[in-house]
Amino acid sequence: MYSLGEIRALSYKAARGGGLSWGDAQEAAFAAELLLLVELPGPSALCKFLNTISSFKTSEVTSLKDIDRNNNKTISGLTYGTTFLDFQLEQKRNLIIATPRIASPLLLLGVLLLLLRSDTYLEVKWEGFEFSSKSVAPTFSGKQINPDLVDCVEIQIGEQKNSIIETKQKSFTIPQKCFFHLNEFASKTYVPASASSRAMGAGAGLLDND
Amino acid sequence: MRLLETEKKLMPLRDPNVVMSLNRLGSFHQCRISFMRQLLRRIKDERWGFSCELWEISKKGYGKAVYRFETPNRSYSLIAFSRYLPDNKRSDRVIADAWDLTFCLFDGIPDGKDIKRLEKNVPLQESGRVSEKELVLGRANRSVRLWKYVVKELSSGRQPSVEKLDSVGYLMRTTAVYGSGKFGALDYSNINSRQGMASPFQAELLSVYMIRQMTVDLVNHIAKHQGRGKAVGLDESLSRSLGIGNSTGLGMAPFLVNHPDLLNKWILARETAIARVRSVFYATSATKNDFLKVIERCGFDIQVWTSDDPEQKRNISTLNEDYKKFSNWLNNKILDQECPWDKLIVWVEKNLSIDCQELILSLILEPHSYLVDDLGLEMSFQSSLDEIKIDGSLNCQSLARKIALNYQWALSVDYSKKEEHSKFWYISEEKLEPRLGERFSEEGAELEQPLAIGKDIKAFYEALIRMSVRSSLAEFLLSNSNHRHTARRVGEGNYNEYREIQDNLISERMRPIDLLRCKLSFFGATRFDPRSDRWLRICMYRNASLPSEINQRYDDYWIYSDTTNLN
Repeated sequence: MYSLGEIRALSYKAARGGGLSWGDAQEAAFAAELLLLVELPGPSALCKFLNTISSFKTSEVTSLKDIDRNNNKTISGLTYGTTFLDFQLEQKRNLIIATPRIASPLLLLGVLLLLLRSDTYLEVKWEGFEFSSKSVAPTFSGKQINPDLVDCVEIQIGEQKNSIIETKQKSFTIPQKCFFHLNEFASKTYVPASASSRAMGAGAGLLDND
Repeated sequence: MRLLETEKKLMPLRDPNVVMSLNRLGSFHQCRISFMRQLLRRIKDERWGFSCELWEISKKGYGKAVYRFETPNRSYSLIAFSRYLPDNKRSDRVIADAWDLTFCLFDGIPDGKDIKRLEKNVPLQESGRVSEKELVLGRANRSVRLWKYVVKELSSGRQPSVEKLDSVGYLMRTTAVYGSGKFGALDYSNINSRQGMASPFQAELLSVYMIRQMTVDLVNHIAKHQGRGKAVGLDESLSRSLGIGNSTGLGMAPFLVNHPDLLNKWILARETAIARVRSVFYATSATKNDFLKVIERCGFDIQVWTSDDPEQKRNISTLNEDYKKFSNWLNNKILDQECPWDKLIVWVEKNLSIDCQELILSLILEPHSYLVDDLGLEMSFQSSLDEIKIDGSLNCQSLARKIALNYQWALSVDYSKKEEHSKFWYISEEKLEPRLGERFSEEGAELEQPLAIGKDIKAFYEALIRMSVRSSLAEFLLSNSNHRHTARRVGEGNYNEYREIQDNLISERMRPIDLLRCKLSFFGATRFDPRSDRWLRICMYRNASLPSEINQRYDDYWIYSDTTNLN
């Protein structure tokens, strides 16, 4: 079992080690954490994303047109989600927004969970999965929770009073394999020790035994 | 608020450009809203009950003990394991793998199963796991300078020398105290709404306070068995004079940089406290008397403050001189004038070193509990979802203008100069701790951590001003994700705040111990003793009542030596 703080820190380092910018790594870590809070496998979503990041040849987003449904591109869930929030597309209340092909759609949902304030509900669907925060506590159904790729994600955001993320859970499990992979990615951010770093480390070379 | 009885407007807070320089932050001293001070006030006000629930310690001092505090609503138990440690394995550094004492703070009352589980894990520290039932994991080592000496004296029926105890100040030093979710422990977010745990680091500091009791009990226990009838217990006043030491290094340094909103809360609380006191129109005889007492007691502490570090020796010597100068000047009835505290600070700022200025600013808070103590409750920070989200609608040029206006400290540095980027922060693979590297002589700069805040802000600014007049931050971020972390940091803040350390954290001149001292002053640490520019020793709870006596004996100014018997 891991604390949320441990998972957040590991996700952040793993995302960075997996090649994301520091800012995108923050977004990925928030997404993984928020997914856990609604009982969805956030760390596994991140793990899958980092493992498949190169396989889907996801397109960069250079303008809002790139995330249009009619665009024949594959966009990573993380990129779509952050672009969606940066451009404040959530202000298109009650409309169903359809995405192009999305790799790692669960991370897209994770990013959008940032919208769950007391006056907002969120519905996100893809084939084989539905998430809704319309009821008192967020709910989800379907077996395709964490697919590699989906043809389309439908997003609807509206106003409602009772949507907020709360959990009574105090510690969380991560599948061992996923934990191992995230640690592997995280380790790419560490600097191996060298003779000079040991000599320069805190307290090095001094009698610290007082 | 009684401040208003003066019918005077609140003085403006000090300018962040002045307060937030690293040099000044590295000169901070504890004050009455420091976290240890808050904790002990609460323990006394709420009359927490203290007891030793288990003492299975061998004649030589090895085994386990459980101590408990009962608050009005909850129980907290310290579970400690004392183990034999060969002298050659005793090290304060994070690379150590064994310690004299390891401990955890249990959330409630542990049963036998809990203690067995913890006995297997707590002595291993980072290599073990704790659970959501635990709030803190920590360890401590005996002081080689004092421990054996004190045991020897007590077991021979003598009290140890006051001078010798004073020269060290503690029997044990903690070398790490981990809280908030570390190694499986409960996240801070789960306890921050609890009465008594809302202020920062209360669980960690409660553990240290309880461990202090154990060090006294342990030294008495060992001496008693060694002395076979001749032994005496450590005198109560001597016990009180001993704190808990702590060694702190680079691992703690990036904390303030990584938590700008929390830093803002801490500094804002202290600055507000200072402004409130400076706004007082007249000083009552009670506040004057209390202040003069505190000045005397603090003066004694400065005189006995020692360090082997040459620079710190010079600093302490300057502080001593300045403090004497201040004490002499104070005799000229300044406190009888109107707006005495403000006048006093104006003089202090003109005539004394930064170190002494910050000390006096802390000291003027002491006799003003009614103006200051409530601010302690405003020193924690919990981010909300709204604050995490970047506001992409901001216009790039208007954001750039705000940066130009508010971040001159970052923009004015020429980071292309070798000396302005000669260091880099990284995470060591060996111990997973932050370290500081030399960019031009060490490998690993490509794995630099994002702690060069000033440099990143300048790069962000220079990229922003290249955008077209109408471009939004959202458009900017589409092709500039490398600036995203800075956009979040700069975009989320109100600019007239104390969020940023206004210095270049990768320059040749930067001293990491300044970061450490700032943080530790908010903890309530004293006797800063740098061992290099990267780590230092401090003392915690020196002169405080022990947990076993705090309800019978409490001095609000406990952190300063009681000089009553010295005159």
